Amino acid sequence: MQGTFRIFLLLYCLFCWRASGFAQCDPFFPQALSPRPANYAINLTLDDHSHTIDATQTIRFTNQSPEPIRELRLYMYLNAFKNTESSFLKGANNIFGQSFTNRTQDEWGWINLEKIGRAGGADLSGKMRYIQLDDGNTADQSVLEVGLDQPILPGQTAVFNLTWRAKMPKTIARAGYSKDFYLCCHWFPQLGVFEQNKAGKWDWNCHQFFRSTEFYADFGVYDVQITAADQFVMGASGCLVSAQNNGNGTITRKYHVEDVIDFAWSVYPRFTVQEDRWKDVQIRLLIAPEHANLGPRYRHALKFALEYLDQHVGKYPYPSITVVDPPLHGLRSGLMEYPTLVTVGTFYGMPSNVRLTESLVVHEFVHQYFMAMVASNEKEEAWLDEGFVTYFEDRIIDAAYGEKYSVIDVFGFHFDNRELTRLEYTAMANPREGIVARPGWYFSDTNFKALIYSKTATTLRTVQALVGTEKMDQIIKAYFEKWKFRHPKGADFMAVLHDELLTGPDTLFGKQVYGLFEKSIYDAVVLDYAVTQITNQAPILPQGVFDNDTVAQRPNNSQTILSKIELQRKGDWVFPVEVLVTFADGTTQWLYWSGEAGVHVFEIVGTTNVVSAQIDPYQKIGLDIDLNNNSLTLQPDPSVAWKYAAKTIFWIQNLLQTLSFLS
Amino acid sequence: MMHIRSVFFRGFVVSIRQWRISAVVYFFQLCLVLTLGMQVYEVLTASIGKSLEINKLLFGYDHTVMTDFLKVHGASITPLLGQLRWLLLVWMLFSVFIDAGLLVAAASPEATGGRTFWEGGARYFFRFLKIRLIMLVLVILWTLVLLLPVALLFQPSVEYFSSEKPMVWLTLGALAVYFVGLVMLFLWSVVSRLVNMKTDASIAKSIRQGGRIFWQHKGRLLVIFTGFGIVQVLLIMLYWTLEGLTGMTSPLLMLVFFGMQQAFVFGRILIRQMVYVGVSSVV
Repeated sequence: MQGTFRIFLLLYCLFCWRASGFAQCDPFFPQALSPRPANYAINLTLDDHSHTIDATQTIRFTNQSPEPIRELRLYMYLNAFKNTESSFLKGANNIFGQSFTNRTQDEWGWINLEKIGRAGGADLSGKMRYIQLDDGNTADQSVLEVGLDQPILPGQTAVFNLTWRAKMPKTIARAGYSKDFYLCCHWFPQLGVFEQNKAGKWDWNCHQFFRSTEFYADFGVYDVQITAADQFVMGASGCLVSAQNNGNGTITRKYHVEDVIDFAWSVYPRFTVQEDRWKDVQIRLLIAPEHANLGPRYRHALKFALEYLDQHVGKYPYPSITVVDPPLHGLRSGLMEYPTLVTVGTFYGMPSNVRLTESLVVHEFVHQYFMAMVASNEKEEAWLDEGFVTYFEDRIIDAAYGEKYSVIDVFGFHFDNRELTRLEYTAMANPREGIVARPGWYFSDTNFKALIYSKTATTLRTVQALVGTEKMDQIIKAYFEKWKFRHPKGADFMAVLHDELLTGPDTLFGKQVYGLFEKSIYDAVVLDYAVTQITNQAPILPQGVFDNDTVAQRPNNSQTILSKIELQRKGDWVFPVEVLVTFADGTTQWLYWSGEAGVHVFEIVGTTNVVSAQIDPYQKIGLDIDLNNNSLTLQPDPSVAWKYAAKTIFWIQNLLQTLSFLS
Repeated sequence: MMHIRSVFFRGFVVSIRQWRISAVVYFFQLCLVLTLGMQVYEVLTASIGKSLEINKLLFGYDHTVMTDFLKVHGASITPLLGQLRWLLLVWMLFSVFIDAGLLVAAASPEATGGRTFWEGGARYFFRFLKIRLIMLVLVILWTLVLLLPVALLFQPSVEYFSSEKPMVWLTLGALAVYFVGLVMLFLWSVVSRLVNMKTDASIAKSIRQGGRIFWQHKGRLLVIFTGFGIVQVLLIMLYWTLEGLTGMTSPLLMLVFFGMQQAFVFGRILIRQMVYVGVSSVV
């Protein structure tokens, strides 16, 4: 009896051990969170000598449209790295500072779909052709069209079996290998999104791959079985559900993830693994050993972000988040987001008062909300994810590490995330360069980040300042709850914004704020208001000869003062502003200007001189490209100029002294 | 041979006694730098001096105020930077004269007035200019020999090594060696100039002999330089600590800190003279 008890106890312990090992990350949701039209099962082997992947893949696709589908369109992203004639590489001298001139045959990448057929149906391999609907570049092979033998009818589910081979490139734009580090992202044949286009017609949304566009795919369940050398430490989207040592120097690991739009994985033999938890979420940090001491910084920032987003946006529903910190030679794989897996980047010895490490992991994590869950089209409307993500990155980093000091605080030089974001927009050589809401391929390398990321984030920040944080959270939560696990367009966010702003008691104000957002995203105008002049003088009273023969005399000892405050609209963007006027006796008065005229003069008759006027004194309108001209004082304090002159003198004196040592 | 403690003491006493010479150098340098400093004042008052935003800079750095200023008024700063480049060039020339004056005074501890300084500067200017140019070439060569390979190898090494850690330490090591080399070249230059002063030998011979003497006394000379260098580092740390505690946030504090800044600069000139007296005592 005791022997039997011992066996049961042993089995129970084994079960608990195994259960605890995998139950830390339970990938199975009790019910689907998304419509799951596109589901993938992939079985692949990575050959790390030839950098190739051989795979079989099953796509289980449900037509959720009211129209029959007569062909498939698949992204073949790796072909963007096949040669310099692809639409991605054409015309580029380098990507992320990386030149292609010395690239060997072995360092290019490609993907070749060898066979595709319908389960229990015809072989469709003969009906494949690359298409280039965006730019007509026939050398581009980033989108493959497969004709179907029979249409997929509305509501019908079709299963396709694929056999393919891919060659991973030496890292370009995140994907590929760098020595023995691999990031396998946008690596498999993936369906586009079958949806209604702007004209209302149902069609595939499956754009070619360009340098300034990211990704757009549909929700589904992924079962991915990866066989790779046993030396590798592996991280992937979702949860590890089984691992088997094959006895031939390889391990097969199986991952499962549900309700996501993509799957990425990474291997590297030198990864150290740091695990943590936030509520039910498993945090897995795969970090290059030389960066291991920065792990706590990553984890602290990530947990703060999880908590912050949980409070201000909504629940993070996935059971895990994997963070990949590549070695420096693989940094070109860093700073990217995939569902439940993000890549970051840092440098050995990164000082604790330079918080780029933290801001990067927070930025990429926020993409789990705006990209992975609210799955907007990153190719056509990148502002809907990058702009929102940058906005929350600013909020989270500044909340976690302090406004004005959150990003850098070194020897008195400091700034926060929000300041940095605003500056990226306002410091553009020409902020009128173009509108934000347009497809990625219309942007240049120089204005993409400033407009998509920074202008959008600064606009959202301005809206927050105008309506208050509580109302802003209400707007964002309404948008998130309505559009999570769906594909919103810009118009959908505008509709939420419209509903939220124009349902309150002050619809005029709501209309103004809505108009500001719309103008910022859908127009290319600049906002700049200035106080240009303040004068105080005795009012000119009527004098001279009038019809009733009286002569008005100007009183000599009048206490009345006429103050004039001149405001100018220097930009072409009209927005009403509030002005705080301060008088010599310390009293203040608020003025309001519609902001429409080019110049507007306020006249105040009183007994005290106006000493200063300040437009938008709380700096709610971060979009104003020059905040220094928002105020004017007649009692300037020269102290600051003296201070900086003294400092300049001091440091130049020291520079000269030091220079004397050079010889 | 004089004990190293006595060398420090002598350096301290003589340079304090010769404070008038250091004061001449200080005022000369201040006049040069004021031309730039006052322009900074004018640019700031003329551009954003009447904005309320500038007041934020009184209590520390403000990135938004500063970057908005540079964005709109950056063009008014550019000529000042150009002027700084010319000022540095002019200073390099003047410092030959100044160093000559300081060295002659250091070698004549009994002299306390400015006459020795002016005479020394005028007499040895061209000779020391030649020595300085030769030493400058050596500094450039030293920079190229040591830092160029590091700069060129950094990127490939990132690809070669699995980690950037070895290269970071290698770079830091190379920088340390580089600065030690710079200090040695500086001391060699000082000794060569002293030799030239004392022997009236040719430039080439002075440098050769200076090199030999420097090598003979390298330990003591490096200790002198390092010792006085540490004093400077301690002074600047003290200044930063005080500024960190209160900052230049009121007209009174500004005046106090300006006085401290200028005292620090004057102190550095005195310490330079201490180094020269120390080196002169050793060789």
